[in-house]
Amino acid sequence: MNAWRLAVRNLRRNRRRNAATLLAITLGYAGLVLFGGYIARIELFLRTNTVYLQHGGHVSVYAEGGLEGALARPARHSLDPAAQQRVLEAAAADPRVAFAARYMRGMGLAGNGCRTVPFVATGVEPEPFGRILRHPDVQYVSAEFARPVRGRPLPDASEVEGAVGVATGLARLLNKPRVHDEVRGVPVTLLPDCGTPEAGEQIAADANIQLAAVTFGGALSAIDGEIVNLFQTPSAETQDQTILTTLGTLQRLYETDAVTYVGVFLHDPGRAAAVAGDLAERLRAGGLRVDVYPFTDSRVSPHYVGAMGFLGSLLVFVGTLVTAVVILGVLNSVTLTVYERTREIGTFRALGWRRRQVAALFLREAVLLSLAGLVCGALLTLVVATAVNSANIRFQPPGIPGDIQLVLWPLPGVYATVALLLLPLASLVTWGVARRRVRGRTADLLTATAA
Amino acid sequence: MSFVRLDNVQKTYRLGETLVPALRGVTLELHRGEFTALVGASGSGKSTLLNMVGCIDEPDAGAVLVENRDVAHLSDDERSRLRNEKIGFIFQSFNLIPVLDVYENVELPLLINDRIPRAERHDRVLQAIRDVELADYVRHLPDKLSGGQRQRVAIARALVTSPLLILADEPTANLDSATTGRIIDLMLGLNETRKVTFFFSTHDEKLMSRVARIVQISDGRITADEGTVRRTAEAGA
Repeated sequence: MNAWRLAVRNLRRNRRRNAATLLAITLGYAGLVLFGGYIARIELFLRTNTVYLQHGGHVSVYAEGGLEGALARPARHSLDPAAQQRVLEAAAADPRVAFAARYMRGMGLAGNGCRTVPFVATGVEPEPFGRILRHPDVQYVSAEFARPVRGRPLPDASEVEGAVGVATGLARLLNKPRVHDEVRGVPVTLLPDCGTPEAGEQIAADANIQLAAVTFGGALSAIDGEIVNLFQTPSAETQDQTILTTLGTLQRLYETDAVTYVGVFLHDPGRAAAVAGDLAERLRAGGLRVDVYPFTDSRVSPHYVGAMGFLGSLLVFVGTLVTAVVILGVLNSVTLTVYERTREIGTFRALGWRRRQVAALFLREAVLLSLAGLVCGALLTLVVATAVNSANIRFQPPGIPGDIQLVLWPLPGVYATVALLLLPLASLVTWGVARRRVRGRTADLLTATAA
Repeated sequence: MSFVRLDNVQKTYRLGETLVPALRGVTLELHRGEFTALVGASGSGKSTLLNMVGCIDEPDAGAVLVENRDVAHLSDDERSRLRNEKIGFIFQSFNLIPVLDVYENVELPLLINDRIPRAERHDRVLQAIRDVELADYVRHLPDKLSGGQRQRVAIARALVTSPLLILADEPTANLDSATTGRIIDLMLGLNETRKVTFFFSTHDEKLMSRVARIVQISDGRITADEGTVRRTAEAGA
């Protein structure tokens, strides 16, 4: 016989109470792991959208003041070709970097011949964009947003002059529901009579739009664009204004060879802040005046940082509540058990068992009960997660156009973190209650009646 | 030489606002190999005196010396060790652990003694069980045993560490007359064969008639100590 076997036997004594405690630990653990898994899934979704599909990069390098000033005064706050080259070289020299890409952001007016609508355009390099679309995280959590609603992805339409992707909201405003591949051979309708009933059909018949903007030099510029795809942006706010085109097309519109920023994509997102710091230091040491931001900076990713801040607070709040309920359950159970067995404690003490040896008996029982609860909770988590994931439940997260699948994604780290929280707390509570009781005078313990 | 000596031991309990003196200056010596009964009315201080001798309570004044060492100077761990190695306890209501069988209950005091090898522990447990004639009940749980058998398990548990002193608080109080007789025989036999010192409280006339020394306590004071007188007389003769 050893003390662990004694603990197992004692756990069988009051089965109903111990079963209730086991259930509390099981449900609490499963609830926390599932909620943590849900938060982890949302975090990956938001991060993937922010970093890849909104082209922010894990780290973004702007000309000094570029984040705030590039749209209003692009000539002053953009990276010229020499600066671009130095940033790309610095990024390529860092083994933590997977790749880097140049981006241009600009505003202007998009027209269909009868109506003009403001747009915000992002100019991307096709090759890095192709890498982004093939990235496992993008395929795993954001495939719906990476895949165009209609037409071909931009990197696959390199043969089309002035190829643009248009967000579905903007396409609706411009009455441009068709893409290049669907209207191939249809002649572009020039200047339809906007007052006639047929104008709408004429506008919708082709995939041509006109983009107009003020160049970096301050002149007016316009180019023809050909819609090669319609897509959903990962943010509802940008659905009615977003255009995605090649960097070359946008540079042609703004008559510049500058870019707004360089996006740097890492192997490990957890190193974004460190890489940003190192890049900033290296570039500034070389005399380049740049601002470097990790994606966790609220100035470049306000939606991601705000949403994660909220979810983090929610996790702490719910986690505290659930943990408190579980620990109070354990406390209640242990207190009753210890007080019921006071004479037994006295007997052990009279037989020469030391205080800590007696308290350790109760601690072993709590550890065994907690471990059993954690194992049951882990199994329950798997069952619930599998059931929910197979049910293909869809929901619309705040600020996201369209819906996404509710995926519960319990991570090993979440399993371990919650277990490492609950087990020591349950043990600590048990130790405290048992220690307090065994500190009593042995003579009193031996004559005590059950509390 | 005495094994245990109490010098003017005093103990007062507080019951609410009331102070209840349980021992009022008790001086007593217990010698090795003695078979001593402690008698007295309920509330006379018998249990308190046993607790003092067993080092499970501390006096307010006076001293308890075990093998000439003042127990007050020992830490709680040292007192635990003293109890484990030198003193055995037998309780009126047996105090067996209900989830442990006979073997495991008897084994309990040895579990915390790392110096006893596993094989020796096993032998000692079985010997103690044989000594109380329960070899056929080794794997029985306490609730499958009669009152007398349970008390014999308690005696085996007290014996298993080969203590110098066994303290028993009314060991036959919950037993019928036939079982009481067998328990008394067992205790006397152990006293004679293994020279174990017994000090026990009792109201049992049958038990009192068979002991060499009777200590009488009343209102927290020892009012008679017949065995001491007898032994002193024998020593003088």
